[in-house]
Amino acid sequence: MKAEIFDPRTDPEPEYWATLRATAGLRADWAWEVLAAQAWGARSAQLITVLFDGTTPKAVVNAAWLGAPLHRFSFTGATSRPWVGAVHVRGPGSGAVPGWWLADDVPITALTETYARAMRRELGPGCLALVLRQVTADQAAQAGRLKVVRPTERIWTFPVHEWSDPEAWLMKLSRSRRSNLRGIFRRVRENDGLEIRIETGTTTLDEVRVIEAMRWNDDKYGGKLIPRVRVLSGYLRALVAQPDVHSTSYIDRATGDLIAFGTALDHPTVPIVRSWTQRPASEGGAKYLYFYHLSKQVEWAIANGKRFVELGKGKSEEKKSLGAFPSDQAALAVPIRPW
Amino acid sequence: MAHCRIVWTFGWRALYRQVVRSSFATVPFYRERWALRGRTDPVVVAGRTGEHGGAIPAAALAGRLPDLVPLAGGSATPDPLRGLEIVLPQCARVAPDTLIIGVAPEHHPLSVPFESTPDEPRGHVLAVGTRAQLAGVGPAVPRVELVPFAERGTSGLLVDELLGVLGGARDCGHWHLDWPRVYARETPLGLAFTLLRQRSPRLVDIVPAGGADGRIIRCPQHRTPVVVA
Repeated sequence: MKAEIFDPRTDPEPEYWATLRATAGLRADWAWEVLAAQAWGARSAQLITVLFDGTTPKAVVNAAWLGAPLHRFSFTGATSRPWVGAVHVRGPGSGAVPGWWLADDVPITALTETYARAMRRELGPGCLALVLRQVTADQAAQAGRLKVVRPTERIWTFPVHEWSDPEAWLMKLSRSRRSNLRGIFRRVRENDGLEIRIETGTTTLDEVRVIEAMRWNDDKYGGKLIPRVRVLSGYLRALVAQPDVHSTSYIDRATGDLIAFGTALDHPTVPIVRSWTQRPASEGGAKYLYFYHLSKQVEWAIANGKRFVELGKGKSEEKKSLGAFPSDQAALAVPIRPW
Repeated sequence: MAHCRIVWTFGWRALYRQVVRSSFATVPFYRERWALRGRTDPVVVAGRTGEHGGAIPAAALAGRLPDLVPLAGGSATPDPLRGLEIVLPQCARVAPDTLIIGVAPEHHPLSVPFESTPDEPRGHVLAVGTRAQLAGVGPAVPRVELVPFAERGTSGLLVDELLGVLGGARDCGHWHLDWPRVYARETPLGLAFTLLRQRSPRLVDIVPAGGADGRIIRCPQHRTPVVVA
C-alpha cells in the first residue's frame, strides 16, 4: 500500500477528501479547515495519512507526532522537527474516538505494519513507537507479538435503536431518574429566563464567549503537570460552521450571559455528543442542564432514526443512569523497528 | 552613545522579533490570527501576509484580553499607566521631593489626588493628568498632559488604555518612544506598538484607539527612536 502524509496546517485539501470523508463516515471534525485550525492550536505536530491500494483510499489515520523536544506551554513550532518520540494515533481534537478509518477489507495490522513503516520513513529513525488509542480487545489481539496493551477509560453509548420513542426510553430508566428528568423538563419549560438556541452550521455564534466558558472546564479537568491547551476560537468557529454540527447554547435571557454550551457532530447512524461546558454553580450555572442536554440529544436521535449516540468518556454514573452502556477500551503500543 | 547605536541597530529589532516569535508560539490570540491569516515583518507562516501586515486595531481586542495571556498563565488586566515612572522623569523635572498632583508613578513618595490639591502648594509641584483633569489646576503650576496618540500637540505624554504610557515629548521637542521597552512599526494601518517587556497580557503590533499616523526616525540629539508626523 502507498501512503500519502499531510500536515493540514500548510498542505491544501486533497481533491478526494470530501468523497473520502463521506465513504469513511468521518464526522465534521475531519473537515480539512477544522483539521487545519486544530493542528495550529496543538502542542504537537498533527499528521494526516491516507493509505492507498492502487488509487483507492483504503485507510485514513490522524496522529500526533509526540517528539522531543515537546513543551508544556507552547504550540508546536511551524517548522519544528522533533527527532525522537512516538506516533500517537487519536481522533482529531478528541481522545474519545479512534483516530483512524479502515476499509472493510483492511485488517488493523495495516496500521501496525504499513502505517508504522510509513511514519518511520517520514519522521526518521527517532520514530520509535506507535500508540493506538480506543482499541477494542479483538483489535489488540490481532496485532503482532511485541506489544503493550493497557485498558483505558471506558466510553459510553446510548443504544438509541432499542427505543422507539422518548417515552420508551424514559420507561427503561430507574424510577427516581425518570421522575427527576420529568422534573427537569418541567423546570426548563417553566423557566422563561432561559433561552435555548440550537443552531446547525452557524456562522453567527459568538465563539469568544464559548471559549471563555470552556476555560472553566479546562481549569477543572486540566492536569497540573500537563495542563489543557487553550482551544483557539478559530477552531470552534470552523467546527460549528460545518453543516453537520449542531450547537446548543443555553443563555440567560435577562443578562445575555452564556450559561452552558454543547456541540453534537452528526453522522448517518452514530452521532457524537462532543463538548459540554457550563458555568460553575457559583456563577449561575445549573447542574440539571447537563441531563436536559443529553435527554434532548436522545430525543433528537430517536426522531432522526439514529442507531447509537456516542457520549465519550467520564461522568459514568450520570451516563449510566440515563441508559447508556459502556464499552471497554484499550491503548495499544507497538515498537517501530528503526531500520 | 556607541551603546545606543548598537542597541538601536540590532537589539531593539531583535527583541521585537523574539517577542513576535514567542507570542506566535505561546499566546492563543496571535497564534490564531497569524497562523490562519498571516503577518509581515517578520513573516511567521510562509506565504501568509495577512491584512494590514499583521497589525491589530485596539478595537479588535475588545473582549479578547484572556486570549492575550500566554499558555503558561498570567494577568489579563492591562495597566493604563505602564511605563509612567520611566517616561515622566525623562519629560519633566521630577525629584523625590516633588509634589505630584493627580496621576503619580506608583512609588513616588509625594503625591495628592486632584480633589485634595492644596490652595498654595509649596516647594516643587507638578500636575499630571488628562486635559479635563488639568483644567481645575491653577495656571501657575507646571504640568504634564496625558494625551491620546491621535490628539497629540507639542507636549505631554502619549497614553493608551491598553498600552499604557508609550512615550513623551522631551526637551528636544520630539515625541520620544519609551525606548527600548516599546517597539513601533510602520504598517498600512498606522504605527503599531509592541510592549517588549510585558509578558501578560501580551500586546504585539497594536494600533492604539483613534489611530496612530506617523513615522519612526532617530532623534538627532538623543539618538533614540522618535515619532514624527
